[in-house]
Amino acid sequence: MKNITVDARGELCPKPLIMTKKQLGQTGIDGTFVVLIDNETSKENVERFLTDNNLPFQTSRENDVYSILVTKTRTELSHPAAEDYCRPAAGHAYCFTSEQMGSGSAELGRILIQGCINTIKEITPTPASIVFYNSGVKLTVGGSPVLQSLRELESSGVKILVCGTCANYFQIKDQVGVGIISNMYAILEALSQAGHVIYP
Amino acid sequence: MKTEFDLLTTVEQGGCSAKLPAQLLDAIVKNIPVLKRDELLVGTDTHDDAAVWKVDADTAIISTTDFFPPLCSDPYEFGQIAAANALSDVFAMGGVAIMALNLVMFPSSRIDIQVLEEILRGGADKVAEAGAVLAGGHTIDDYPPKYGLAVTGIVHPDRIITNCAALPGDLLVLAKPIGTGAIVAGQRLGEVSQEDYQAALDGMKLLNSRGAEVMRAHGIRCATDITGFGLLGHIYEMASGSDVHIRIRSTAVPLLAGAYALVDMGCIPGASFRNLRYIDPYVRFAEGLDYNLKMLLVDAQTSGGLLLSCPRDLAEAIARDLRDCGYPATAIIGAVEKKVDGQPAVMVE
Repeated sequence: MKNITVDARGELCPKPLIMTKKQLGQTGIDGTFVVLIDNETSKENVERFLTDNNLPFQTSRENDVYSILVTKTRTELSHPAAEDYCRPAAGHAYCFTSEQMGSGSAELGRILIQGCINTIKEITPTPASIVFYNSGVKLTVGGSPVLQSLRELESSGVKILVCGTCANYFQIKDQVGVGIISNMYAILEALSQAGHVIYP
Repeated sequence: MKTEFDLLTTVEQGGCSAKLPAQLLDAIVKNIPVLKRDELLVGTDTHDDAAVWKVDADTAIISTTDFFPPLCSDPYEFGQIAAANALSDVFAMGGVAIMALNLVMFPSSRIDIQVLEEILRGGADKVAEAGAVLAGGHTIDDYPPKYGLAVTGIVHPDRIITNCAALPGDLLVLAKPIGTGAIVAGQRLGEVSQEDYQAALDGMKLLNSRGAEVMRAHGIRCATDITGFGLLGHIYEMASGSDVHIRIRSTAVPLLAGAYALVDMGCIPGASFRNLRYIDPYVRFAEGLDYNLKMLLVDAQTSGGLLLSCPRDLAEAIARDLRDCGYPATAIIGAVEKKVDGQPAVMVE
């Protein structure tokens, strides 16, 4: 598949950034495009913008033209809508204390929790952190139906904390496939810093 | 007769702000020997707005200069803005402007001399409005044109307002909205409404003289004006000069109408990135901080507002007085705290 190219050659700042941002708006998740720039200042500024917004890119240079390959890994750039200004700066946290959602039917509980975690990434703003403890840690191991979603969230900047004591207890510590194995200090720190905590 | 010449055609597209990067300057200025004199009350070491020289027990002289290439089309307006910008440093030091000299670079063979007349008329009108006398100047044939002033002011030596006297417990008050850099860049690209553009120009023409009167009335000791290094650049210099920690509430900072939308579309002038690189080591941004807002906090301002640090119990009264005397966007935007070792000088929430 041929990459979409944003030709910003001959343009001075801030035009290349405006063109980059416009293309980001038109690109789907995991989509890529290339930005061509022929002056170093604009190149640096576009790179800084991408870095600040956690968007991966690769820059190559041929003669005097830089080409920046941008991958859009996030739905939203790191800014909330103007009317969301007043939300707590810290962002919110999700806390999963079980491998099921709700009580009643264990099977239904597992279906619900899959739907829940797969939906988190669709909601903006994304949470600041997601914490797993007790049997909730089982959601983070290889083969978990939500592992892919959690990895996507993690690469978009969401901090994922997995209780180390719990993973040890269930003897799955070496199977944890996402997040940071954390102690109680780190977990409580994430929860106390959160604007609010959601227990699904 | 009004001359129809678009000054913006003389400066490069994307000229951003014409100031040299602060790091670059810091690196060489420190190699230049400076004589210490007891009479020099404010010199180069605190990055303050102007130099202050003590003449006697009752009088100190404030000396400052500023000039730059065009940032708007109309010569008369350019003259007004350049003069208001140059005069501002005297007001930020708590002084009264008494005298100004024109600094002019103008290509007489390429642009009709009437255009220069308009620029000078704009400058002279602002100098007069500030209560000072225009007493001469110096001209060089050069392209693109540049204009500004060298200004002399006076202040009582015991009532000098510096950028390094913020005290823990103080609150920070900002008298003008920010975003002139983004608006000027957006205007070049045809992305700004006439209304928003004119409001930004009017803000840049607005003298900080009445703000200085408010500061004097309340006995303020610490202030600066916001210019090329952006709000955060000047706040960092205040924090570092005062040896304190400053906490900024980003959502409280007043913005020019249209500036946020411009930054949101990617219209971020190169000067903003330059300023961001300058303050990066000293400023911590809260996680999840609005990126557009962050980039506006480093937007290079031309003829920006006064930023003052004042005792907590005075802040509301000062903000009200500033709003009442011509700075309606005035807001309390942050707080001064005790410095904690190992913490960055400025925190943005």
